Amino acid sequence: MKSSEKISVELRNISKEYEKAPLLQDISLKIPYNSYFSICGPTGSGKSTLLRIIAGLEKQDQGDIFIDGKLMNNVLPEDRGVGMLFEHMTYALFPHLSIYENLIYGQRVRGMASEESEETANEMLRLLMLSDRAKDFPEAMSGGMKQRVALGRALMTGARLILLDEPLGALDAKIRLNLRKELVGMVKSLGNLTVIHITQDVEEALMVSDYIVALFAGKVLQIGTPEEIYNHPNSLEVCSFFSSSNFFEGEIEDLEDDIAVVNLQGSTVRVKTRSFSTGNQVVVAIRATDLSIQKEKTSDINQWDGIVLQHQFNQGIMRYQIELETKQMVIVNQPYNEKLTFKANEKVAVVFSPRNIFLFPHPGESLEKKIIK
Amino acid sequence: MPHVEIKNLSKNYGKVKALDNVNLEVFDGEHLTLLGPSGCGKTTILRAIAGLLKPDHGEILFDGRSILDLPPEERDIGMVFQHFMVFPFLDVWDNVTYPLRIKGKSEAEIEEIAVRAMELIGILPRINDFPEELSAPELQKVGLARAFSTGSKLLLLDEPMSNLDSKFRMEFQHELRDLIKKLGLTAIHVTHDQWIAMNISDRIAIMRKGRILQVDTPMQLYYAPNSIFTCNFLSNSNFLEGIVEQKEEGRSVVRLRGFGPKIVIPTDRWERRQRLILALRRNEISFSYAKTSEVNILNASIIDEHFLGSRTIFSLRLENGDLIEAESFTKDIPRDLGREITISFRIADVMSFEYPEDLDYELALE
Repeated sequence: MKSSEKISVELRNISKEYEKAPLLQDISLKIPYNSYFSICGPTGSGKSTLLRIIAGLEKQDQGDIFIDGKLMNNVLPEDRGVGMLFEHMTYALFPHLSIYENLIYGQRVRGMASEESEETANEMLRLLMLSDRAKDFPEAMSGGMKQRVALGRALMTGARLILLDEPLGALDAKIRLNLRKELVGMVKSLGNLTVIHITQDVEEALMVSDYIVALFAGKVLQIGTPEEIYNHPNSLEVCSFFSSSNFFEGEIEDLEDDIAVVNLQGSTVRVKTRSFSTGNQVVVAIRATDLSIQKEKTSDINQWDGIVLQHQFNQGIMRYQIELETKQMVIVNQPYNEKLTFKANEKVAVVFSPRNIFLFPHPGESLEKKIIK
Repeated sequence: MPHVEIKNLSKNYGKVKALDNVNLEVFDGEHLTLLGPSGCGKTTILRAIAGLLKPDHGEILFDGRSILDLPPEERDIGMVFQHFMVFPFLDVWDNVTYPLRIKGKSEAEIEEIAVRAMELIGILPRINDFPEELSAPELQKVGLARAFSTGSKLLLLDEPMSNLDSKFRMEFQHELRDLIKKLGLTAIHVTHDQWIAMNISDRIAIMRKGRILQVDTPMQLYYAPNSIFTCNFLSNSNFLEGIVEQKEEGRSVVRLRGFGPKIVIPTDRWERRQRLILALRRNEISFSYAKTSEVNILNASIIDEHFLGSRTIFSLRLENGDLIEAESFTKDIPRDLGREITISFRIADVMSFEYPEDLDYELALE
C-alpha cells in the first residue's frame, strides 16, 4: 500500500467489549480505494462484529471510523453509502419482483438504470449461473440461488464500498468454487468498487483478495497479500489457520551460519533462519503439502522413519496419516500417483525440504491454544 | 450385521419423481454416501429407510427381511442429524443414556453400555458437561454415542458436518469416519458436499433428479465417471468439444473444434467422425517447457492466475480459442500473463464422453 493512495475506509483504534470480554482490541486499518480486502479468521475472532461496526449496524466502544475521509461514528447505516450482504439478510429479496428486477432495483431507485446497467444485470446473471432464471420470482428458487441473487444485488447497488459477510457461505461446495473465481471478475468488471469480505474459508480469502487481514481473538495479527500471508506467516496462529500444518516442539541445538539445527525430541532438522539463538525453545511447522513420503530413508538429514496409519484419497491428493518413530503423528498430502502409493501399516520414510519449514518462538504452555484447527 | 437392499424404490410428489426406480445395496460395515445437489432424492431415501415416509413402490430389506411395515422405532436404526438434537437441559451422561432409560434397561446395563460407547468415542471426560459447554464436533459425538448405545448397527447420517466451521469440518470428517469404523457400524450418509463425501465414504451413490447415476468408490468415481455430470460434480475438469479423426488399437485421435489441436485418448470405443466431449482434470495438466512425449503437447497462453496457497490455478487459452484451467503445485512457474507456454498431459488421463443432447444440463450443478 503506497502512502499516497486514497483511502476508502479507515479504522482508528477500534475496540469493543461484550459482557466485559474484549471482542475487538485496538484495531487500526486503512483500506484504499478499489481494493479487495478480506478479513479472515476463525469463528469468534470478531470479524463479523468488525464488519457490522463499519456498516453502522453496531457501535464501537472506542475508536473512529472514516469513510471517504469523513467521520462516520454517528452516521446511520443507510447514510454511509455502503452496499452490503450480511448472512442473515440472505433471503431479503423482494418477493414481488423477478430475479432480474431484484438485481437492477438499486440502480432504479437511484435513477441510475440505463442500457448499461441492463447489460451489467444480464452479465451478472450469467456469472451467477442464473441466466435461465431471470424472470423467475424468489419463491421459486432454492436457498443457494437466492443467496447468489442477493450477492449480485449487493454488488449492483451503485455504492462504491461493498461489505460482504460470508457471501458464499451457504452455497454448495462446487458452486462456491466456481463463484469465488467469478466474484473477482464481477468486481473488476463493475469497476471502482472497494470490497471488504469476511470469510473463514482460507482458500476463498487467498483467491479473491488483494489483501488479507488475519484477525484472531479480536486482534489483527497480520496484513498482507495472499502470498505474504501464506508464504510468510508471522505467527503460529496465522500459519496454522492458513494451511494444514504439522507442528513439532523443539530446541535450537546449534547454529551454522544461517542454518539452525533444531532438536525435535530425538530427531533433528536443519532450517534456514536468522532470528534465533542456540538454546531457544521453538515450534517447527511443516505443511502437509510440503512433506512427501517414499519407501525408505535415503539420507539421515531431514528424513524420518514412520508407519502409515491411514490414507484417504480426495481430488487427486492422497492424505496419509503417519506415526513417526517418535510417536508423533504427521499428516502428509501427496499428489496421487498410482505407481507410488502406500498401504496402512507400511513402513515409510517422511521427507521434507528445509526450504519449506517455518520456525516460531515457543509460546510457552499454550501451544494447543495457538494452533488453530 | 445389517446389509441393506433397496429395490425399485419410487416416490412421487404430484408430478415430481422424488425417487425414480432406485436400486441400491449397502454392505455390512460399509460407509455409503448418497451425494447430489438439493432435490436429487438423497434425503427421501434416508427418510424411507428410517420409516419417516412411505415409498409408492419398491422394497427396503434389512438382511433380507422387508422392513417397510415396521414403524420407525422398531427398525433399530441410529441417527445423527445436521442439528445436534441433544437436550439442552440434560448433561452429556443423561443425553447419551436417555434412550436406554426409555427402553427400561437396568442401571447396571445402562452404565456398562454407555460408558463403553463414550469411551470409544472419547467423550467420557465430558460426562457432566451440558451441551452449551461443548463444541460442535463434541455435540455430534454425543449424538453418535447415543445412537451407538441403543445397540443399533445401522447408522443414518443427515448432513452431520453442515453446522461445523470449515476448519472443524476438515478434522472432524476423518475423525467421524474412524469412529464409525471403530464402532463397527454400517453407515448411510447424506450430503451435498463432494469433498466430505470423498473423504468419508467407502462408496458413493451419485444422485440427480431422483435417480442414481453411479455407485462406486471415491477413486473410481473420480478416475472413471460414467457421465459428464458426475465428472464435473466430483472433480475440477475442463470440458472440450472435438471429433474423432482416427482410430487405432486401444486409442483414438480427437481433433478439437475450430480445427484445434489433436488429442490422443485412451480408447477405441467411439466411431470415426463421432462428436465427443473430452474431460481433462486441471491437476493433471503439466507445464512442460521441453517435449517429454510425442503426443498431447499443446500450445497455450496464460490469461489469468489465482493463488490458492498450496497451489496456483492458471487460466489458459488454447490455439483454437478454447479456455482451460490448469493447476500447479510447484512454486516455480513463471507467472507472467500473456506468456506463451507448452502444456502436456498423459493419454491415460483424458476422459471422453458421447456429446450429450443437452450439454448445459450435463454441466449444471443443480
